[in-house]
Amino acid sequence: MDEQLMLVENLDMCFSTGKGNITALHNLSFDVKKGEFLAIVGPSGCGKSTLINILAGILRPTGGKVVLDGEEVREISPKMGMVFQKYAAFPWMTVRQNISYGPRIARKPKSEIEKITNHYSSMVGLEAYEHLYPKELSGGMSKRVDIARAYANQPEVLLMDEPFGALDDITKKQMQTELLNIWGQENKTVIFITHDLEEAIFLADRILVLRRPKEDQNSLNFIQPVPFSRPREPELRTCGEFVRLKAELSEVMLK
Amino acid sequence: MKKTKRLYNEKYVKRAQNVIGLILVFGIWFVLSNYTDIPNLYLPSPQEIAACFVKYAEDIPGHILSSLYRIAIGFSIGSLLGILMGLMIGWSKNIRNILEPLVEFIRPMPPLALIPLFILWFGIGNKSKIIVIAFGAWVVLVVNTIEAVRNVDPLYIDAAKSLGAGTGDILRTVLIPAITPEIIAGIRVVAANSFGMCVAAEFMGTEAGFGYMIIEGRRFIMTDLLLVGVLLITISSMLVNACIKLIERRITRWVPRREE
Ligand SMILES: Nc1ncnc2c1ncn2[C@@H]1O[C@H](COP(=O)(O)OP(=O)(O)OP(=O)(O)O)[C@@H](O)[C@H]1O
Ligand SMILES: [Mg+2]
Repeated sequence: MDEQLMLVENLDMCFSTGKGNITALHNLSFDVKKGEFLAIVGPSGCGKSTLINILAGILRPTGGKVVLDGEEVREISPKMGMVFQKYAAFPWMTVRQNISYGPRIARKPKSEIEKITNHYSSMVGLEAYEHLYPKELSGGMSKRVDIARAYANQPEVLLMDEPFGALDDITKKQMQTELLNIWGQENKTVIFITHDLEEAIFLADRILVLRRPKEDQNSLNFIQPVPFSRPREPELRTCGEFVRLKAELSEVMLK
Repeated sequence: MKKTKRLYNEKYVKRAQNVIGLILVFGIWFVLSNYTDIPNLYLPSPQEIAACFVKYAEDIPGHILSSLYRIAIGFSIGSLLGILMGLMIGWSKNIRNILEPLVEFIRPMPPLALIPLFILWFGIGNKSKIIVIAFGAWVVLVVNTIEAVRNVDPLYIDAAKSLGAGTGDILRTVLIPAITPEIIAGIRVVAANSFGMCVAAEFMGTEAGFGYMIIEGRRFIMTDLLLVGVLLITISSMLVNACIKLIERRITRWVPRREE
C-alpha cells in the first residue's frame, strides 16, 4: 500500500494569454501511492483541472515533471485512464462498444475482449443497456459508461475530473458508493478531483488541498489523511468525526 | 395503449393534410387548363401530359439512363474527392495551410459558369458534363467536410488517445463516425444540385437526357414534352433523396435529434 507509484515534482504551469501570464500551478510536489484513492480539492480556479490534464499528458507543464513508475509522462498514454468532467462516451457507439473500446483498439483476442467487456459492464450494472446509444442514457448511466470504459482499458492510474459534478444529489451518492466498491475490487490507483469536501472525505485515503498560487506560496496547501476505516457506509457522512473534519477543511479553504 | 392510438391518429391527420395541399394545386391546374381559354401552349392539361408520357414511353427510359449515368459518375467522383480532400485539410495543419486558400478561392465559383470552359477542354460529350457535376459536388463536400472535422469535439479525441488509440484508430473510430451525419447532409444537397447541373450541361448540346427532352420540347413548341422532362427530373431527384434518407436513417441512429 505504501509503495510509491507516481511522483509529481516542482510542477509549474503558466498560461500566456493576451493580457499577460496566468500562473495556474506553482511549485507543486506530491506523490501518489500504489492503490490509493487520492482526492484533490481546492477553491475554484486553483488549477485542479490544469493539474489533472498535466497528469494525463494532455497538457505539458511549463516546469517540473510527472513521473509514473520511473518514467516521465510526456503525452497522453493508456497508462492513465481518464474520466472527464463532461460526458465523454462516444455517441456513435453503443454502451458495449464504448466499454470494449480500449481492448478492441489494443487488438486483444476476441474472447478476451468479450470477457473484459462483460466484467466491467456488469461491474457498473449496465448489462441490460449494452445495446443502447449514449443519447438514450441518463446522466448517471453515461458516467457509468465512462468509468467502465476507463477501467476496461486497465490503466495503472484512473484520473477523474469532477466526474459526478453534473449529477443530482441522490445519483451522486449512489455513484460514490459504487465507485468505492469498484475501487475496492480492482485495486487501481484513483486520483479524483472534486470541489465537494464531503465527497472527498467519503471516498479518499488522502486529500490534497490546493490553493491559488502566488509569488511566495506554492500550490500545495496541505495533505489531509482521512482516518476512516473501510468499507465505508453511507451513514458515515453523518457521524460526528466526519462532520467535524468537513467543517475544519472548509474553514481552512475559505481562508 | 391509448397514447399509441392517438399518435397513430395524428399521423393519419398529418398525411391527410399533406394530400390536401397536393390535391388543391392539382385541381386548380386541372380547372385552369381544361375550362379556361389559356392556350395549351402555355399550360397543357394533366391529360395531355399523361398522353405525352405514353407517347414517348419507349424513349423515356433511355433519357433517364443517359442523365442518371452522368449524374452517378460525376456525383460519386466529386463527392469522394471532396470528402477525402476535406478530411486531409481538416486533419493536417500543413495541408490546410497549403490548400485552404485555394479552396476558399474556388468555392464561390458557380459551376455552371464553368461549363463552356469544360466543353472547351473536354469536348461536348459526356466527359465535360460529368466534370461539371463532379466539380459542383466536390466544392460543396470539401467545404462541408472541413467544417465537420473542425466541429469534432477534441474531448473525444483526447478520450480515444487516453484509451490507447493511435492516429489511424482515431481517424477510423472517432473522426469519420463523428462527421458522418454532416457528410450525409452534404451529400443530399449535392445529389439535388447534381440534377440541376446535369440538365444545364445538357442544354449546351446532347442527344439524350432530361435536358434533351426539355430543349426539344422548347424547340418544337411542345410544352407537354418540356414538362414531362421537368417532371422526370423532379421524380428522379425525389427518389434519390429518399434513398439517401433511408441510408441516413440506418447509419445515424445514434445522433441525438428531436422527434419530428
Ligand atoms: N487554456 C488556458 N488558457 C489560459 N488560462 C487558463 C487555461 N486553462 C486554465 N487557465 C487558468 O488557469 C487557472 C486554473 O484553472 P483550472 O481550470 O485548472 O481551475 P480549477 O481549479 O479546475 O477550477 P474549477 O474548480 O472552477 O474547475 C484559472 O485562472 C484559469 O483561468
Ligand atoms: Mg475544473
